[in-house]
Amino acid sequence: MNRESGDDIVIMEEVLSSMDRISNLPEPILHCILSFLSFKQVVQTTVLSQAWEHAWRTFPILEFDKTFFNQVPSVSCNNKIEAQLGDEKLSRALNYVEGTLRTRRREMIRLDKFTLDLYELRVKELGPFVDRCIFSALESDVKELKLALPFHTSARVVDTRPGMPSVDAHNKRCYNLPQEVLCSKSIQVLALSCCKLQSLRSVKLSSLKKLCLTSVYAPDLVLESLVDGCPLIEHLSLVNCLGFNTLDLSGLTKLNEFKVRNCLEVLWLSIQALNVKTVSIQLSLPCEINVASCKNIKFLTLRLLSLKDEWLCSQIPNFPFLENLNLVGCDKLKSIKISSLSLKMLKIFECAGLIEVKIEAPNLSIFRYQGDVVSFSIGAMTLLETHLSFNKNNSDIDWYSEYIGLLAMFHNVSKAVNLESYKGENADIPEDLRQIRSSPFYGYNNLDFVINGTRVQVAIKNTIDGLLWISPHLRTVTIKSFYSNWFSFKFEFSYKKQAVYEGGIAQCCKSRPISCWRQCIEQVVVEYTSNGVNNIKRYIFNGEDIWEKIDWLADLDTSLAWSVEL
Amino acid sequence: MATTSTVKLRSGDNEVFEVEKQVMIQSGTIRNMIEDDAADGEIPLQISSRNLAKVVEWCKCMQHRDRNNNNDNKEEEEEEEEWEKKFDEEVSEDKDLHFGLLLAANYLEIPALLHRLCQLAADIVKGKTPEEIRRTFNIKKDFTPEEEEAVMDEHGWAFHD
Repeated sequence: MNRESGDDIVIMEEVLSSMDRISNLPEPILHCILSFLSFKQVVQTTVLSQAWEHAWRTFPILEFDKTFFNQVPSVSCNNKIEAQLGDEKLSRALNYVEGTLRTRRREMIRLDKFTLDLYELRVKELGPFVDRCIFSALESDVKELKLALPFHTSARVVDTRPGMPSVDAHNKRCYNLPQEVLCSKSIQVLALSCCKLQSLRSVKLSSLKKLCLTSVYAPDLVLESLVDGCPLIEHLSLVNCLGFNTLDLSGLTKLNEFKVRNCLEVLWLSIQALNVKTVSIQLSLPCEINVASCKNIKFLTLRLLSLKDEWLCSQIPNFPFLENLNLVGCDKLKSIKISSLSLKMLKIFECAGLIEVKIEAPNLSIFRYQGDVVSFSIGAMTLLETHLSFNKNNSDIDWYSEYIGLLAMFHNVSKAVNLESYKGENADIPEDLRQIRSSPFYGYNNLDFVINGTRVQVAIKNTIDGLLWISPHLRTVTIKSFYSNWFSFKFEFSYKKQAVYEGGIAQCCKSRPISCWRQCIEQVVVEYTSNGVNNIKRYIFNGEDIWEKIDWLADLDTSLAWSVEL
Repeated sequence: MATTSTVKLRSGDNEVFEVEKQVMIQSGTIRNMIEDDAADGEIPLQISSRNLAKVVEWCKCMQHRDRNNNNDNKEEEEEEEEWEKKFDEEVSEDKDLHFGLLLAANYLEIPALLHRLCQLAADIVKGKTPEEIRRTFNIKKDFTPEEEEAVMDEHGWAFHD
C-alpha cells in the first residue's frame, strides 16, 4: 500500500473522529434512545463520557428488577463471613436504589417509570425501605409504578395446586401498601404484587389507566373503593388475589380489558362496563357471574368455571359483537349451544362433562376443539381452519368409527383441518375400518399433524400411512411437536398421473374409492428440523421401494437425532 | 385565511420544497404555523436540503399509509414495508443522515419519526460494550482516571454478569 495515501486516510479518519454527534443531541433525544435499551445497558452508558453520565442522572425510567437484584446472594448463608458479605451487598444495592431516586428529585425529574421487584429476595424487614422508595417516586410524580414484594414475607401458599400461590390473608408480615399510592394523581399504570391493601380511606387515582394486582390481599371494602376511585381505568387484571367475595365492576365506562384469574374467594362477579372488549374469567369456586350488560365484548374467555348449560346458552345472544370465544375446562357443561352471527373464532378445550356441541355461526372461520368424541351439530358455515384433538380413551373400534364420522363432518365445512394427537394414535386407523369406510377427507393438499404428548414414542411410518388414508393424495404432511424437544417432519409427495382412477388398481385397494398411496406415489421429499439440529435435514426418495425407504428413514433417525424423547 | 393546500419549505441551503399541507401537519411545528395562518409564505428551516427531502419523503409515506390503513391492498402494503426497510437501512448506515434527521424531527416535532430514529440508534448501541459504543459514535472519554473509577465504582452492578 502507498504509505502517503494511507496516512491521508488516517488523517481523514481523525477529522471525522472528532465529530461526536450522538453526545451532542438534546438530552430528551438521548433519553428516548436510552429508553429502548435494557436498564443495565442504560447504566453502563454512564461510563462513556460526562454528557452520558449527566443524561443518566436525569433519565426518568428506573427499573430495579431481577437483573438488578441478582447482585444480592439469593440463599441465606450459614457461613458467617458469606452472610456478612451478603448483607453488605444488599445494603449497597438498597442504597443505590434510594440514591438514584434522590438524584431524580434533586434534578426535579418527573419519573416515567419506577419498578422495584424484590420478589426473589430472601430478606426480611424491607418495609421501611419500600415505603421510602414509594414516597420518593410519588414526589417525582411517577406515571408507571411497579412493585413486587418478597414472596416469602408477604404471602404463603394457601392453595396447594402447582403454580397457584395466593396470599395468606392472616399473614401479619405482609407488606401494607401506603395509602398515599392509592391517592396519586400522577400514576397511570400500577402493578402490585405480594402486598395488602388495607386502608379505610377512600381511593382516588384520577389518572389510572391500568391496574394489575397479583397475589394481593384486599378486603371487599377496599376493592369497592378502588373501583369507584379509578374512573379512567382501561385495563384491570386480578390474579391470585384474596380478601374479597364480591367483585362489582360498574360504572367503569372506559374499561376495555378485564382479567380475573384464580381469586379463590370470589363468589359473585358482576361487570357493567359498556365498552369492555376483552373479558377473561377463571375462578374455581361456584360463582355467580353477571356480564350480560357488556354489549361490546369481542373476546371472551371462560376458564375452569362451573357454568351451567342454560347460563351459557342465554348469555351468548347478549354479545352481538363477540368474535372470539374460549371455553376451557368448564366441566359442568354438558351441552354447548352457540348461536352467533359475529363469532369468528371458537375454542372448546377439555370440558370433561361434555356430551354435545351445537354451533350456528355462519361467520365462524377458526374452530379449535380438544376433548372427547362427542356429538357435534354444525350449521352452514365455511371454516378456514379447524383444529381437532380428540382424546382417545380406549382402543375400541367404535371410537375410531365415531371419530372418522366426525372428521368427515368437519371436512364438509372446513377448507383445512389440522389434527392433534397425544402420540399419533389419532392417525392410526385400524385396518378393518380402512377396508369398510371411505376416507373422511378428500381434496386437501396439506395436513398438519401435531403430537401433543410429552415423552412418547411416535412411529412416523405408521402415522404417515394413517394420515394418507384419512386424507388421500396429500401434497404435504407436516408432523410436529411443540414441546421442550420440538421437531417437525415435512413430507412432500408427488404422484403418478391418473394411475389411481383408471385401472391398475392394486389388490389392497380394490375396496376403496381411490387407491392407497403406496401404489401411486412417485417421489417423497422429507425435511426434518428439530431444536437439537441446527440445519434442516433433507431426504429424497424415488422408485419402487419408497415405503421401505421411509421405514429406513425412521430407523435411521431413531438411532440418531430423534429418538422422540419428547 | 388559508388559501392554498400546500406549504413551501425553504431548506438551510435555499432549496424550496412545496408539499401538501395534509402531509406536513404531521409536524407539530408546521401544523402550528398553518393553524396560525403563518404558513402562506416560504417557511425558512435550518435543515439541509438533503435531510429535508428525506423528512418530506417520510411524511408522505406515512400519510399514504394512514390513508390506506383501511384498504386491504396487499401490494401497496408490501411496497410501504419495503420502503420503510430501505429507509431504516439507509439511516443506520449513514450517521450524518441519521443525526441530521434526529435533529430535524426534533425541531419539526414529528414524534413518530423521532421515535423510529431513536429506536434505530438504540439498535446500533444494543449489546455493545462501552468501548465499542465509543468507537462506533466517536465518543471521547472526557473523564479523569479518578472520575472514571468513581463512576465505575458507583454503578459497579451494571458492569458484572
